[in-house]
Amino acid sequence: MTPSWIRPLRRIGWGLTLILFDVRLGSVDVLPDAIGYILAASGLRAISPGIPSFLWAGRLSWLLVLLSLADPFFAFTFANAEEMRPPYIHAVGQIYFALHAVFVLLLCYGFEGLALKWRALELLQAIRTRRSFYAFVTFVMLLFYPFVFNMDYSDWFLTKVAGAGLIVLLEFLVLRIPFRLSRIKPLKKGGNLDVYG
Amino acid sequence: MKAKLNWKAASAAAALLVGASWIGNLLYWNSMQLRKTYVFEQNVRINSEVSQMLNVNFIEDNYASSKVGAIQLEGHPQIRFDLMKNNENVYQQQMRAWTEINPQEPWFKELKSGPLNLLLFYDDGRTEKVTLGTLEMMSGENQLLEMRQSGGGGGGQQMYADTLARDAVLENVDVSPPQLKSSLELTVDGKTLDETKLPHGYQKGETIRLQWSDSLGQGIDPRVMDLAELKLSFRLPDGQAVVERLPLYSYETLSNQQLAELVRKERGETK
Repeated sequence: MTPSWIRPLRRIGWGLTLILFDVRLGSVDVLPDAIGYILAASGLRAISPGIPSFLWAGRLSWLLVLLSLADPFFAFTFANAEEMRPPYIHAVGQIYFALHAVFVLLLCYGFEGLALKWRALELLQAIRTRRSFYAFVTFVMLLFYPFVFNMDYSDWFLTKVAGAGLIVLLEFLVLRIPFRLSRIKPLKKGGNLDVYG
Repeated sequence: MKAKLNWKAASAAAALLVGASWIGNLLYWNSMQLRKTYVFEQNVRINSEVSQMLNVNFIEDNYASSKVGAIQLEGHPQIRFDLMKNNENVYQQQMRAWTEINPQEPWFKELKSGPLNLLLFYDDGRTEKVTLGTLEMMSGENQLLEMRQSGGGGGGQQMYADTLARDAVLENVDVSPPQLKSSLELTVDGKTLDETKLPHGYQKGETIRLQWSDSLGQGIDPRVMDLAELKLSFRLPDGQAVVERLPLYSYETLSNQQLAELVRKERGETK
């Protein structure tokens, strides 16, 4: 691979890390998601030429920067119990979640393209599996979420927590992909590429 | 050859299904909204000799833009009510306001028998007047049943045992509202109403025992929960008629099904 791609891929990886992990002091996230999206956007800008999914992910990341900046406003304004919030607040949260999921999926398609190009077949298979699982679980969660209005709240909340736990695990597996891609080195024989680490 | 997923078609189908889930859930949620505060009507009887609690039950939507912050009996601002959330269900919360009616209070003499209205004060400053029911002021000397004992018996039964203060003849046992009669399995002194031969004379100090099924609340219109009562018509030796009333159903909270039924009836979707 071209060494100049190592830093952008790692920036994307660290961006995803900041988005996934929240360090909260009280109700304030000291690692705001916006910084993660900006880091990812900066990495995508360097890597996107010729890869349409990275180009779209880069554009989407700026929209997500804006939405994530609005997030604390909603958290403070609607600090009451989740099930008592007006429906449009739930809808805004879900639009944010859906756009983030599209962002992650676009990244996966981009990573897939790179792995294919560099003939990192083992990693390619891992990316496809993770992407499919992630897409499926996200879809089920998006489908399930509106039942907050009609289900017993404790049942709904337990199901949501289980789904959210699965999504965190899958996003952790996805954020490892750019780091693994950045470690790909050319094989000595035959000019083919494979994965290290 | 391995079939390749058309991601554009799959994304469109997923978005359609998620949209359908939102629309379906919001439509159903909307159909379960009461859109107003519902106060359970009741006939309040106040004994002028003993202190007693007055409970007012009402329900309001969880998502109501403005909630009831205080209530007052119309014409009696001195009577202070406390508010508590009795239960929170999926669409509505069941609220209870209570106060102590104490004959020693200076305002007690101002209470008169007649229609009883309630003023609801909302968080946004609005005030709404609703009907609570009727108020009946009773003097203690007119009371025929004096040592009331009640409790839940085994097997979902409610039991009342009352001692008569004077000689009296039980002439009739009736249920209010009348539509409850068919679902009521009532026994008087261990006999069903059909087996009980009325009129039946009781001596002073004798006990009348009433028992009925506690499952009554499950099948009836939830709106009459606080109105449901037994009417025992007695005749005293001097010819005076006395009607004693016993609340049939002392519910704590309504189930989700009962609340749903109440909402549908209030919205006029079912008779």
